[in-house]
Amino acid sequence: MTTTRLAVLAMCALVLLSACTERKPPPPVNDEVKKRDAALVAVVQCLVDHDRIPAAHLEHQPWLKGEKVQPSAELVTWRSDHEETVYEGKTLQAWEDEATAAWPGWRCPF
Amino acid sequence: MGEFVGVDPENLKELTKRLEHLHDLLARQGPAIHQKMQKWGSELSFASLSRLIAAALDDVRDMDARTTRAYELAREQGWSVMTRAPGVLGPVFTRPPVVRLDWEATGWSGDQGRRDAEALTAALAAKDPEAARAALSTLPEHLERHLADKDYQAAFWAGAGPLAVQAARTLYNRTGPALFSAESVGILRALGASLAAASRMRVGTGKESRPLLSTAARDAMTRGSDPWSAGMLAKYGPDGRSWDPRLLADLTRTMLDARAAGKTIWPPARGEAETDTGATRHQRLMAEFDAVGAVLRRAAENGVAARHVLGDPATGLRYARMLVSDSWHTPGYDPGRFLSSYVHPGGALPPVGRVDLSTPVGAFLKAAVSAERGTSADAEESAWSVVHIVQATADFARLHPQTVLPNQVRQALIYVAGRHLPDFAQSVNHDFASGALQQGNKPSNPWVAINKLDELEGFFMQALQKPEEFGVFKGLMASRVSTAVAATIQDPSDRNYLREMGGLFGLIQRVENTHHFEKELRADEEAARDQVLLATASGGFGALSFSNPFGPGTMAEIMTALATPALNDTLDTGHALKALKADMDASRRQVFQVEVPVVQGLLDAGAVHPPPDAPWVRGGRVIPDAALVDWISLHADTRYAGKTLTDWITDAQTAMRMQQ
Repeated sequence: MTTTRLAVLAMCALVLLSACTERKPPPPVNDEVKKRDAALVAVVQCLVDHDRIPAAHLEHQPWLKGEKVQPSAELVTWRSDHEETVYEGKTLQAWEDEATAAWPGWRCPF
Repeated sequence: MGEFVGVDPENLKELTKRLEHLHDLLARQGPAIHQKMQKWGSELSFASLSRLIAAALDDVRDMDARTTRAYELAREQGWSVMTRAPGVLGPVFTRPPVVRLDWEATGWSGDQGRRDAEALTAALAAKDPEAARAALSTLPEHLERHLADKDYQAAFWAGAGPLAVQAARTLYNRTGPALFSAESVGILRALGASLAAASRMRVGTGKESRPLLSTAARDAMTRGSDPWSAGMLAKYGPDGRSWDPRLLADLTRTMLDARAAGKTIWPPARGEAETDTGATRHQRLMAEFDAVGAVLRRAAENGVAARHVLGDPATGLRYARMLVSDSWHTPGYDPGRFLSSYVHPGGALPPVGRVDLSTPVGAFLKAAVSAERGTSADAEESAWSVVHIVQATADFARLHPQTVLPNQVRQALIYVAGRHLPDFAQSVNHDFASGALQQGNKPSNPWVAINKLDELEGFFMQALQKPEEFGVFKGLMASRVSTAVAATIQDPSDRNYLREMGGLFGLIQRVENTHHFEKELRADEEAARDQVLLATASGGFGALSFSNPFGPGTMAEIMTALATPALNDTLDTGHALKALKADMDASRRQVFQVEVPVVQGLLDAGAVHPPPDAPWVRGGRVIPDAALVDWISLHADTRYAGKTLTDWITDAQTAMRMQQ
C-alpha cells in the first residue's frame, strides 16, 4: 500500500517538474523593433532626399536603388558604420531613436 | 602497339628489386653526396640529382609493372609456382617460362593501375568476402607505392572508381565480433588514402590545369547507391586535411541527402537480434560504424569542406536544417520483443538503447564558421554558414518549442555566438533581412553575418538553456568591454561597439526571462559569470594590440579580438581563482566588471597615457588596486577620445546592464 502511494507521489512530482520546465514559445518580434525598422528607413530616406548625407558615405551602397532606400541587411551594416556619424547636428543613432520614439507620428523636418 | 620482347619473369623481378635498392640508396645518400662534393670544391653540378632520383623511382614503378605483367603472362601459359615433378614427393617450386611482353605498353604504371582496377572489379563482383580479401591482398601495397603517381591514380580510379567506393559492403564480416578483419581494414585504409590523394591531384599545366578526377568521375563516386560504404572510406581514410575539400563537401551533401531521404546509412544488420543484449550490441555497432558521422568528422577536420556545404547561399540553409536537429542518435530498438507476454502483451514501445551521435555534428558546425576573418572567399562562406546556422536553429526553435537540441549541437551554437559577437551585436536592433556581406558594404572590409532579430531570438532560445550557460555567456560579453572600448576608438568608421554589445546583452536578458529561473539558480549564473570574468582577468583583459591602427587589417583584427572564444577549459581551475572569487565583495566586483576593462580599453587604444611610474599598470596591463581607484577618481572628468572617463564607464555599465 505504501509503495503504491509512493509511486503515485513520484508520478505527481514528475508531472509537476515537467510543468515547471515547460517553456512558452519565443514571443513574436515586438512592436519596438518594427517601429525602429520603419523609423530608420524614413530617417535615411529623409536625409538622402534633402542631400544631408555626403556623397562619399553613399558610394556603392547597394541598399540605395536610384534615390530609394531599400530595407535590407546591407542597410543594417551601413547604419552600424555610421551610428555615431553626425548629420545635421545629430548622430544617426539619435535620429533613429527620436523617430522611433515618435513613430508613427515622425515627419522629416526639412 | 609497342615492341614485343622475350623476358624471363624471374630475372626481371630480380632486376626490379636491385633497381629499387639502388633508388633507395640514392634517395637516402643523395643529399650527403651533394654536400660532400660541395665541401671538396667539386665543379660538378648536382642540380639535376634530385630530378634523376625522382626519375629512378618512376623506372622502379615501370619495371614493377612489367614484372607483374610477365608473371601474369606466365600464368596464362599454364605455369604455376608450385607443381608436381615426376619422382619428387609433394609440390616443388618451378621457374616461370620466358614470355613475350609489350615492353612499352606494360611499362606504364598507368597500365598497372588499370589492371589493379580490373582485379578489384572482379574481386568485388564475386561478392564473397573471403575470396575478395585473398584476391586483393597485394592491392594495399600497390596503392601505397603509387600514392603520388598520377598515371597510376588516373587509370585506377577511372577503372574502379564507383565500385571501389562500395568495397566496404563486400568486405565486411558476416559473423564474428568485428565488422572488418585486419586485411579488410588494410584494404579500406589504402583505398581511402589513395582516393584522398587522387582527389587533390591536378593534371596539365597553366590554363590546361584540371583536377585528375573529373567532375563526372567525382559524381559517380560520391553519388553511389551505397552511402554507408563510401562513408567507410572516409572513416578509414586519412585526416580531413589530406582530402580535396570539394570531394568531401560533395560526399557530405550526399550523405545528408541520403539520410534525409530515409536511405540505408547504417552498417548491414547481421540477422535479427535474438536477445536484448544482441540488440544493444547492434546499436553500438551502428554508432561505431556511423558513416554520416565519419564523413562529417573528415569534413570538419578539413574546415573548407564544411564551409562549402553550409556556406552556399543556395543550398547551405537546407543542410544546416538537417544538422541542427535532435535526430543525431542511432534508431534504438523496440524492447517489447524481448519481454515476456505477461509483462508486455503487445504493441510497439518507445525505442530504447539509442546511442548519441551528435559529436561530429558539433565539430562540423564549429568548423563551418571558423575561417579566418577577412575578405577571402573562405571568409565569405564562413559568414554565410553563420547566417544559415542561426536561421536553421530559429526554425527548429519555432517548430519544436519544447525540444532541447543535443548538448554537442548546443555547445557548437554557443561557439558560433562567441565567435561572431560583433556580427550579432550589429544585427540585433533590426529585423529587415539576413545575409552575409562585407562590413559597411565596402570591398576592403571583412565578411560579416547579418541576421534578423527574430532569428537571433530563436537561436538563443535554443543555444542557452541552463543558468550557468547564461552566466558564462554574459561573462564572456562583459570580458569584451575593454576590447569594445578600444575598438570603438580605433575603428575608422563611426561604429559604437559598446552600444551594440549592449543591445545584444538586452536580447540575452529577454531570452533568459522566458525561462523564469528560480532564485537559487540565479546564484549559479552569477558564479559562472564571475568565473569567466576572473579567468579573463587573470589572463589579461582583451587581446587587442594594434600594429597599424588605420591599416586595412584593423577591422579584421577588431572582429577577431571581440570574438576570441573564452569558453574553454581554463574556466574553473586553480584554488587561487576560487579564493579570489569568494573573497570579492560587491564593490570590488563592480570595479572588476567595468572600471578595469574600460581603462584597459582606453590604454589599448592609446587614448590614455599613464606616467611611466604609475603603479596600477604593469607591462601594458591594468592592475586593479587602490592606486587605480585613486587614479579613476582624480580623472573622472578628463576627456579621452572625445568622452569623459565617467561617460565611458557609464556607457559600459549601461551596455552590460550593471547600473546599481
